[in-house]
Amino acid sequence: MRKYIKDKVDIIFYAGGNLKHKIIVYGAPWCPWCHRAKDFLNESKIEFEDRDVDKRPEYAQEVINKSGQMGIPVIDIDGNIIIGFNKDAIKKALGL
Amino acid sequence: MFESDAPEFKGTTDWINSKPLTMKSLRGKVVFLDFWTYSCVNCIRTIPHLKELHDKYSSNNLVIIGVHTPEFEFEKETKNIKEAVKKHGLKYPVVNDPENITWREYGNQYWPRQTLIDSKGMIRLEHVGEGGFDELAGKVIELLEESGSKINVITKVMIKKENMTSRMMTAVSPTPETYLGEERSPGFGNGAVCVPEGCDRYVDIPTHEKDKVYLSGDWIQEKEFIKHVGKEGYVALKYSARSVNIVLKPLGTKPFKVWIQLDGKFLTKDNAGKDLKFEKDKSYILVDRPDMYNIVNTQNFETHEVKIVTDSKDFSMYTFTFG
Repeated sequence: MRKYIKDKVDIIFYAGGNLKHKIIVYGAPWCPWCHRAKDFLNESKIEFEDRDVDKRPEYAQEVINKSGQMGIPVIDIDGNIIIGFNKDAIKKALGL
Repeated sequence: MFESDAPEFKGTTDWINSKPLTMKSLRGKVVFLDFWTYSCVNCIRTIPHLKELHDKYSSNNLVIIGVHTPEFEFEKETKNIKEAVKKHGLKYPVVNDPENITWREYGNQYWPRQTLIDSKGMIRLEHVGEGGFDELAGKVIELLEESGSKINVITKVMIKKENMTSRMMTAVSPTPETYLGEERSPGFGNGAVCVPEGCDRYVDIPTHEKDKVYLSGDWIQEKEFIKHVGKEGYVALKYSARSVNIVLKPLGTKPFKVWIQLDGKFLTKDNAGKDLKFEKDKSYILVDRPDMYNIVNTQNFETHEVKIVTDSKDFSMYTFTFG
């Protein structure tokens, strides 16, 4: 009879199973590339936090701090910074 | 391929190096149609073979006709085709087929494509793309002899064997032709952003993937090309090939310089393309016509990053091609 020792069981997490990404989109209502980026995420049913740089100056500062430039959109996916609307880069960062 | 009647020229406009010809008037001659367009690198690489055939056999009943069918809008203009005919030293007739009507009559889809028609007006051989010229030349001789022409044995032997080892086998895949216009672009490596001045800004990123185009500065993507709309910008591409060509069109009337760099440095005489010029040690091309410009030629098949730097708002670029 095998003895089952619960404490020694390894727990394996499979990436892609139910892994949540932390996504922040920095944008503004007047920016067409921001809309395209958000539309793409919505169509892919991927949740994200929408940070409007026009409403909160600290978000504009975060854009500069994270990407080293002032253009929007900037998309932060788990710390990977994507400047501009770039579908391929978003997919790659999400492992799609 | 079944033999069939060669269709008549249709929708063609200007003839260069010849009065207008018809298929009917060419009966009794062996006709070699070369469907080409002047900024296509594969078509340009075919030209020396065509010139050789023309020099050898035009007095023996062979008529080569370059049917110029455009890929881009600017290639529809006879003026531009005439300049290309002059530049490449073509002596055989060239006809402008600006709306690709004769091209469609022959069921064509490729540049270049060669169609060989015998002296009775029947299509006897069709050939797509570069290479295989030994076979084509052999068929030309066969059809000329069939038509009653006496071919000099010495010239027959002189037809050059193609250098089959010219493209080296390599573990790295060669970079394919890369279009920049919206219609056929595979997308850029970096995305556009909005800044207070507008939404045409591209910010380059530090790491570049091979075979992907990266932009810096202000650019607008049109159907066939991208155009530079800012103060200074560049187009960068990490590629694997021996030679790099770019198709550009000046949007204004004044020629302008475009600076070319390889791996962050200006080129030298050892790796410069045929169209490169030098100002002190800085390599550039003078963009004075809509054309294909040869910017890099390395001795071996190599991987490099080429950068095309411009400060002109007349700069528009269609494609990268490689050799």
